[in-house]
Amino acid sequence: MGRTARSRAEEVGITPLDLLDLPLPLRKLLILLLRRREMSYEELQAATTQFGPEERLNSTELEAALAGLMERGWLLRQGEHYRVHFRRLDRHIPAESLWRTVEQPNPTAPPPIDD
Amino acid sequence: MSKIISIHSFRGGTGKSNTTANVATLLAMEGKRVGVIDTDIQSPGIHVLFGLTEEDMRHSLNDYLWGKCDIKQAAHDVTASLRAAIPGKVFLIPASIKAGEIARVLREGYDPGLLNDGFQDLVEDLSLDVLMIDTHPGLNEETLLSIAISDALAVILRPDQQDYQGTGVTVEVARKLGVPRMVLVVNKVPSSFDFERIRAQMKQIYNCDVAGVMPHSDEMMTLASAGIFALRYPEHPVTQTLKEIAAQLMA
Ligand SMILES: Nc1ncnc2c1ncn2[C@@H]1O[C@H](COP(=O)(O)OP(=O)(O)O)[C@@H](O)[C@H]1O
Ligand SMILES: [Mg+2]
Repeated sequence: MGRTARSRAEEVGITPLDLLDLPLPLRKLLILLLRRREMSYEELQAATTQFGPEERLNSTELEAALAGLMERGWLLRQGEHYRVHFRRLDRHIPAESLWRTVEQPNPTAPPPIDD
Repeated sequence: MSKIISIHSFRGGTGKSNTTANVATLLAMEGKRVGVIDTDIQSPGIHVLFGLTEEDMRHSLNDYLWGKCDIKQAAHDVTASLRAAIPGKVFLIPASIKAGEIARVLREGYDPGLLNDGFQDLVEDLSLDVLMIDTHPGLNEETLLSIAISDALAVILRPDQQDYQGTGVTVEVARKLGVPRMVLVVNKVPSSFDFERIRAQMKQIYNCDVAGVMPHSDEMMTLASAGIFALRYPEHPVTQTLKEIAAQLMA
């Protein structure tokens, strides 16, 4: 692979921080894939129907989700199997985007413990 | 079923590495095969607790991330160095302590997919019952990845106003990532404090189980990470709490 092709391939791909921004069903799907490393469509279908009511995907939704993730370069298909595709990390996530991702303000600090 | 457990704190010096090393040892004493991986690439340290020196490190996590070795080759069986009757095993995957190698990861980054593959390979190749991930404080990409793929997460905090806010961030992020089990560990609590009250307060603020409240201990301070506290002081209240934490994380 030529150097430019390679660096382009490294520019697409998900980062762990991106996981936080995904809708719940997609986040759950990708985390499951990370744990199993790779899964076939049938395995994904079997697993996603077991998800909780807010995370569940029917076949049409699953197919759309996989297509969308492949389109973004966040999923790769090798033969029958899907894998998560990460982008190479440049160090240090900008703190700002992290704070933005955590929409809820922090719980208010409790009063000093000793009285 | 094998488990992946991350130990995190928003700020440094809270006791992550000591808790990780002690819980790992206690689990190995119960017969478990335990892996411990130091993902604190910027400021590695847990190898010290297991007496692993720079010369002992054949390969490190850094070598693996640079494609120089398999993750298994970076795993050091440190069970014998614990010099105790341990029916299980402890394998340590250290991060490099060479300044140049730390700088290189910071400069060049690495592929998080490889880190995830490394976690999963370790569990399979070493037939681990448990993989414990010691993390860098704060939230960075490898910590987010570790939390995301964990079955359980312990968030450590001290009774300190600075720790309280940061802990809220970690707890929030871990909830978003859907970690199946999350517990808090309150460490370095002055013995004059009311421990039950702290436990209740933390549980209420973060809406999260508290696996243990550990006192600040002069013995722990004096041991200064030169060994595994639970082996040195098996009857100490801190060791009792560490056992509870181990049990809660495996629950
Ligand atoms: N309960 C405790 N009482 C006293 N000292 C402690 C306690 N827990 C940890 N320490 C000390 O705090 C320091 C930081 O601990 P460490 O485990 O390296 O934290 P971290 O990995 O979070 O940076 C070490 O010197 C350790 O001996
Ligand atoms: Mg540490």
